[in-house]
Amino acid sequence: MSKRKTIIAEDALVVLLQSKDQRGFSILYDNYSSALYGVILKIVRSEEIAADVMQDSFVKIWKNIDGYNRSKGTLFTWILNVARNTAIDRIRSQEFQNSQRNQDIDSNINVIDNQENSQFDVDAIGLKKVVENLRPEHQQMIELLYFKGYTQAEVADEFGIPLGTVKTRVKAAIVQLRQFFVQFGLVLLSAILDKWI
Amino acid sequence: MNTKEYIESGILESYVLGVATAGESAEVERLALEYPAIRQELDAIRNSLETYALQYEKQPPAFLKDKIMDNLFNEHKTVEQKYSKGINQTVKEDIEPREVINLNQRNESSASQRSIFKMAASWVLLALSIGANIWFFKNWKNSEEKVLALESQNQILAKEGQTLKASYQEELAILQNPDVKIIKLSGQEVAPEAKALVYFDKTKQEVYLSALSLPEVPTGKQYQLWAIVDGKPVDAGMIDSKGNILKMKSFSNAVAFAISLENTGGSTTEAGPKGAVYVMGAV
Repeated sequence: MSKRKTIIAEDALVVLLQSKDQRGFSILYDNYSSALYGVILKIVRSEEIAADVMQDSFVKIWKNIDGYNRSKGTLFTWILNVARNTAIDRIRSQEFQNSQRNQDIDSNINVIDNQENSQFDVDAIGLKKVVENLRPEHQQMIELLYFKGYTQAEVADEFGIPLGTVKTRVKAAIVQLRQFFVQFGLVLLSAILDKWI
Repeated sequence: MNTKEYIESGILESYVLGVATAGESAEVERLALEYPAIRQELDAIRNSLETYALQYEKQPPAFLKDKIMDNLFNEHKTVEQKYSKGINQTVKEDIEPREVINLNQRNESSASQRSIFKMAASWVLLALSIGANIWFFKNWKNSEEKVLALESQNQILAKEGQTLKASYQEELAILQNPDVKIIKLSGQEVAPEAKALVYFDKTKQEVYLSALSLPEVPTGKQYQLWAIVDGKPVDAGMIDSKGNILKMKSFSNAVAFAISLENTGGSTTEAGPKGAVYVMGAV
């Protein structure tokens, strides 16, 4: 987490961003880059590509910030989606898939495991264990849809599950997540406050 | 519509995950505006997914911020980068930053036009403001002077009013006193139209002069009241002002009163009246 968090009202930040003010983008970067970078890295699984995708994401934020409004959720929701979609577009592009094919599958898996282990830095508050308690098929749904950009139909196709079942599992996965986060909300909140303030 | 059923359908989750169709997304956004329950549900789903995503948060490499900020805000560096990167760079990467920079330049030039306009407008407004201030200040000064004049006038009127009231009260008290005798002094040969009233309180030995109607006093002259006591005129006092009612010297046994025009300061009882007698009346 950045040491230089700037406390700014979200509305004010949106105004700065929409007027293409350099301070706005600097604050946006300081406040959200580690969240965005973490998700991007989780998706693309390469530091080099993640940095590139970060840059693309900021350009997209720059170009599309005028189209942002509150009906699309919070600013964080919106930029997280921009970053996530940019990363998913990258892993689905031909260029990416070609480069991945050249790598040895086993070593690739090891790299992935190491990366994921190092990324769980909220482990101290016990969140990791809770998330691991998600039923495997639920965790899989979130991984596929949220981090791999699969559509529900694609998941149904690839895993031979009826579309209705996919939808039910997605729903159940998020319900389960919500229960965990309500349960751990206070712990998490205090941890976030501790880190950010 | 049944919001509960809609929430149960799982479409909100699809929307937040970004896997809903464009039509479904538009519907969700519309319904979220309409139904607070749907909005709350959406927020809850977003929160849980975002919290989930935040587990993975990781500090990006230190160089990345400068690189990104340069890309967005520093034209020259981007051009250098573009040339140094050479032909391997993808078309997409090449185009996007340039578009961004064009946007930036357009903003800057229209911004500078705007700022010139703003500056001109500021000067005009400043000039108008100064003018208005001078005008208002003058008006204010004028008004203040007028207010001061009116205030002093008002004070004078109030004083006069009080004096009048006091003298009328005094006169009324005298008139209502049964011991007081009213003597009418009538005009004599020099001024047949002249007249005056003497209020004579024998028990208190008080003499008042009122309702004076005498010709204008020439400069150097003054009217004097005389009381006729034992067949001789006795000085009863000089008439200083045209006040409503004047208290004169005390007598208990006067038989008549008269007013003569004398030199300023008047005459003495020993010398007797020297000027013409204007009005006279018997008790």
